[in-house]
Amino acid sequence: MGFGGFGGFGWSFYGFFAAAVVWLVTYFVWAARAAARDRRQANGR
Amino acid sequence: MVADSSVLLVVTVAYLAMVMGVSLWGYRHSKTEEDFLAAGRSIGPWVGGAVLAATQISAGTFVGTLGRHYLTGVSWTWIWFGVWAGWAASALLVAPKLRRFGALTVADYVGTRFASEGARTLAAGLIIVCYSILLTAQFQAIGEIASAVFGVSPMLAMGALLASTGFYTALGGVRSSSYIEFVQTLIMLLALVCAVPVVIAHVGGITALGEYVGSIEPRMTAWWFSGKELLAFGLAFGLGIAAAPYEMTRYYSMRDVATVRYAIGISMMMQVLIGTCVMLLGIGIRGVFPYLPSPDQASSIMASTLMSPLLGSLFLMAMLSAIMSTVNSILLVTGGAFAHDLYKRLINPAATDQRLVWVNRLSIVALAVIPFWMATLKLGDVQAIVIEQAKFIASFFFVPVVFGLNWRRGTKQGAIWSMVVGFVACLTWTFTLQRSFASHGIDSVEVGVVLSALTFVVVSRLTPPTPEKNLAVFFQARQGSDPSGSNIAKLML
Repeated sequence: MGFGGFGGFGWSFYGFFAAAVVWLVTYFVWAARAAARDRRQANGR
Repeated sequence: MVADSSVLLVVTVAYLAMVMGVSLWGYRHSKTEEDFLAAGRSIGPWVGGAVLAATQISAGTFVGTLGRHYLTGVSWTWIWFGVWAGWAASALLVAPKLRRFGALTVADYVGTRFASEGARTLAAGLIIVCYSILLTAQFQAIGEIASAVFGVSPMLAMGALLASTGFYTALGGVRSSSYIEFVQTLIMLLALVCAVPVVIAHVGGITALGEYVGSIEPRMTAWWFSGKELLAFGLAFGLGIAAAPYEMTRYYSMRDVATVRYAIGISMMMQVLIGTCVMLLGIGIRGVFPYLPSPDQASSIMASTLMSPLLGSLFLMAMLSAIMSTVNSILLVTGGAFAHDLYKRLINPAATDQRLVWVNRLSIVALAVIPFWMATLKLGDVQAIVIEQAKFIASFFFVPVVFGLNWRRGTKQGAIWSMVVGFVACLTWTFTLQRSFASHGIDSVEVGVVLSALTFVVVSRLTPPTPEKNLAVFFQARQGSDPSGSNIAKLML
């Protein structure tokens, strides 16, 4: 549990940013695919 | 220094002028109830995303969350993943179906999905009660901030909040409120992003800050909270977000389903930025002032001692924006619940559209005055009131919304009893059992949601199914992104 790591912060700090980026990218990829799927269904294809 | 009152005065006047200008524009463009409560289904993804962020970010973020980081360091920031899980659940299971339905209030959904005016009335009544309590906390917060930062009487500050927010909400409805909240979110982002380098520079940079704060308490730069604790807190927040009426009503105002999904993503993107800045500021202020008497003082002390007059004033406007946007969103929901779900349904079914717009406006004013009066009585601690009401909302509303939108077999009796049982379970656990069971770490919201879900499933299984015509709108195949803005609710209500 000790502190330390790069720049005085541990991975609770850097891990948050990495996880947030992964979260957002995953979300927007899903949203774009859902929009494309809705468009296809609306066009009857 | 913020004590330079001329800068603060100029910033405040410019801010209020913007708010009033947009409200007057909204007033001229709100002729029907659909204009007033759903902005004519015209809100795009960026404004919509900012609106969702603004309604969620409240005084609690600037005072309570920042103070929590001041006290415990980095790890509290992982709570945001619970919040975002709630948003993702909403995007996946709730928001698209509600937008396709395209009604005006959350109780509209309850009444139509379960084919029950009783369920609609119960939902509207519980929303008004719980949100009036939340408003009480927001009035108390502005009173306490004004008193601590400016030495202004709490009554005066609460009166100013009542007059300004009540006025602009009643005047322009959702249309002008959405654009005002867009600007308010930009103010919050700008103030936070500008404040971070100022505070970190005071302690000699990010590395020096990490090393210094870690030397005060090693857990501050690592893990203060265990994974189990973070999961429990995150779950409580997420359950509240997934079915929060003041977020759900905003989905109705957006252009189409795709806009709603993108708006939720943009809102989460803004929250990543806000959460990061609040975390860095909390830790940064700990580096500058390691031993404040109360962590809740961190933000106001930062604004009044570390910042230039302009930045300090901007930061205080950001705090004011956070409170105003939350109050505004709540008033739109409670006013709509009374005017649209109680007045129109129970008192005057023949009311014209124009009359309903005015009943909405008068309801907003009336439902702002009651919490103002309650705030003068100081019924409890601000942060505690905010958290408790969120638990109550989740306990009685999460199941009828999330289960109801995704399980055809749910019935009106199941919905009504799940709301009653969820509410009573949360109430009972909060005031009686929670203390004796505290060592188990079982929160009242978890008890409320689980018992509400069990009740919903068991009672629904034992009662007749909902008529197919009411289910079709929620369970038929996807209908595309509804680009025309036409809404099925008009056919159903």
